[in-house]
Amino acid sequence: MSGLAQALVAAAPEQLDDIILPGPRDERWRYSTLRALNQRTFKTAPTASAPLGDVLQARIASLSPRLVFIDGRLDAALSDLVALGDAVTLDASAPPANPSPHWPFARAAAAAAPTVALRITAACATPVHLLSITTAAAQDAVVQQSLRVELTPGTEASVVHHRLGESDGTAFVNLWRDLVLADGATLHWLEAADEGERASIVIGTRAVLGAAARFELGEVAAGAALYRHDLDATLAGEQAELVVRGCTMVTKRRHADISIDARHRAKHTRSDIVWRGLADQRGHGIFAGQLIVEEGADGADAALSNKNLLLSPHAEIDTRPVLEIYADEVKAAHGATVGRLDERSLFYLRSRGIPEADARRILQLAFAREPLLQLADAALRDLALAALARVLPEDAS
Amino acid sequence: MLKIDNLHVRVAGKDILKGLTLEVKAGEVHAIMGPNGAGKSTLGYVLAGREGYEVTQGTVTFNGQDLLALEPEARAATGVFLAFQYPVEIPGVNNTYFLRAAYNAQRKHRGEPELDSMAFLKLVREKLKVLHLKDELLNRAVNEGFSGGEKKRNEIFQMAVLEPALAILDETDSGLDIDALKLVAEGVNRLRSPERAFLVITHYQRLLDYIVPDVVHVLADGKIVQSGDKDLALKLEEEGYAWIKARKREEQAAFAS
Repeated sequence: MSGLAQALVAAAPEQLDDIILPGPRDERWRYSTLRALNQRTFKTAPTASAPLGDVLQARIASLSPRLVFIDGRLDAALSDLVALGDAVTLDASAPPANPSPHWPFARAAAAAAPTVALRITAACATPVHLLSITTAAAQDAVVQQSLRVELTPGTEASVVHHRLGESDGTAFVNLWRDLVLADGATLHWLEAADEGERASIVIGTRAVLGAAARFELGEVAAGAALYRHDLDATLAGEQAELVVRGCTMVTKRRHADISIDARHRAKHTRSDIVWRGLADQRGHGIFAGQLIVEEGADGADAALSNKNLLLSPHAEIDTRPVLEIYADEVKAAHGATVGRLDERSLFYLRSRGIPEADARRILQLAFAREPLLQLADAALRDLALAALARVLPEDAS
Repeated sequence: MLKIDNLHVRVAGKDILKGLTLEVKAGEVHAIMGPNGAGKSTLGYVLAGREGYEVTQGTVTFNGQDLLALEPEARAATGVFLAFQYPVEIPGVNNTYFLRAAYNAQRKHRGEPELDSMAFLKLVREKLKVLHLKDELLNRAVNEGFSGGEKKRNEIFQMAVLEPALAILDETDSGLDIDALKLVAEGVNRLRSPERAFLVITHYQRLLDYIVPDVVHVLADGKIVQSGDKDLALKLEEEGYAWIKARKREEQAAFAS
C-alpha cells in the first residue's frame, strides 16, 4: 500500500481494507496519474490546526453566512449561519452517507471524517459560503472532509464552495459531499478554484434529485498538480433537472480533470451540460461527460457540449463525451471539439487596433465566460466571473 | 496619403496582385471595381495586414511610412481601417467593450490619453445618433446574430468611432437591399472630409450612385487596367467587364503587330 493509501485509510483501516486507489489501467483515471503522489509519504490529518494568518482571517470574515472547515473538521466558532435563522439546521456528526464502492476517495473520506449535515428547510435568500481551509499544520498530510447537504421539498438555496489554504499546497485534500434534493427543491452550487500549482485535490460530489428538483453546478477549474472533480448526479424523480456550466483554464503545468455522470432514472428528466476548456503552456485539461438514460426513463432530454481551445503546442486536452441509452423516446445530443483560437477573429480585433496579446486574451475570456454567463443565480454568476478574472486577468498590461 | 507602387502579392502559392500601382490623396474617394477573382479583397487584406498575404515585390507607404512593416494593430493606430466584406461574429465579446478597447489601444499607441467608460459612452451615443442606429447595438456581442445589413452598418459605426485617415470599404454593398445600402452610404458620406480618404471596393456600380467617387479604377488580373472619373463606372455597368477584357485583347494584338 502506498503512503497516500495508508494515510487515506488510517482512520478506519478495517472498514477500508479492500480499498484500491485507481491505477494507470483504470479508464476513468487514465489522464490523472497518482504516480507522483504514491511516491510521497503522507501524515494523517492533523488533530490541531495551525493559527490562521491575518489575510485568511479577513477573507473568512468577509464571507457570510458561512460554514467553515479547517483541515477537514467543522469549525463551529468560525462558522456563522445566523443570517439564515431557522432556514438551516446543522448536525456536526451525522451518519455517513456511503458512496459507491467505485469511489475509493469518497469512501475514505466518509469513513475517516465525521460527516457534517446541513439541512435546508426554507428558502435561503443569500448564498451560503462553504469554506474548506487547509492550515500550515496540514503540510504533507491527508485532509479529508465529508459533508451532506439536504434540501427539504420545495426549498431553494445557493452554495459557494471556496477552497483556501496555507498548507503550501503539500496536503492531499479529499472532499466528499452528498447532496440530497427532495421533490421540487433547487440547489445552485459554485465551485471556484484558488489552489496553488502544487496542490493535490480530489472532490467527489454525488447528487440525488427528487421529482422536479433542480441542481445547477457552476465551476471554474484552474487546476493544480492534481485536480479531479467527479460529479455523479441521479435524476431519480420525474422532471428532475441537472444543469452544469463550467470552464477549465489550465496554465503552467496545471492539471484539471472533470468527470460528470448524469443518470436519467425517471421519466421526463433533463440534463444540460456545457463545459469549456482552455489549456495553455503545459497545462492539461480533461473532461469526461457520461449521459446515461436508464431503462424506463422515457422522455429524457440529455445534452452535453464540451468545446476546448489549445493555446500552446505543449498543452493537452482530452475529452470524452459518452452516451448510454437504454430507454426509447429519448432526446440526446452530445458534442466535443478541440481547436485553436480563431485566426479570423484575432485579425478582426487586431485590425481595429487591439494589440495581439490583448486580442488573444479577449477571445479566451469570451470563450471561457460564455457558459458562466448562463448561470441562473445572479450572485453565483458574478462570483464565477470574478473567479475567472483571477485565473485569466482581463487586463494584460 | 497612400502610395502603392508595383505591388505583387501571393496568397497560398498563387500570385493574385501582379504589379498594382495606385495613389490616393487626402480627401479623395477612390473606387476599385473589377470582376470576381481580380484581387479586390486581397488588396484590402494586404493593406490591413492579414497573415498569409505575402508581398513578393513592390512598396506601400502611408503618409510616408512603410505600411507593410507594421503589425495590423499599428496600421490601425496610424489610421488605416478596413470595413470587412464578411465581418466576424465574436460571441461573448460586448460591442461597446470591444470598441472601447480598440479606441483606447489606438490612443495609447499614439501617446494620447485614454477615455474612461463614461466619456466613451457619450462619444458612441453621439455617433449612433448621427448614423440613426439603435442603442441596443452597444449591448450586443460583436456581430453575433446580426443580419447582413446590421453587420455592415456595425462596420460603418466602428469607422465613425475610430475616425481613421484611410477607410477601405471591402464590398460593403454586398448582400444589402436598397434601403440598407442607402443607410450605409449616408453613413460614409457623413464621414467624408478633406483629411480623410476612402478606398471603396465594389463589384457593382450601384453603390457609387450614393457614394460618388473622385476616381474609378478597374482592377483586372491583379493590376489596374483603367482609371477614370465616375463615368467609367457607368460605362462598366453598361458594357460589363467583358468590355475591359476585349479592350485588353485588342491592345495586346496591337502591341504584337
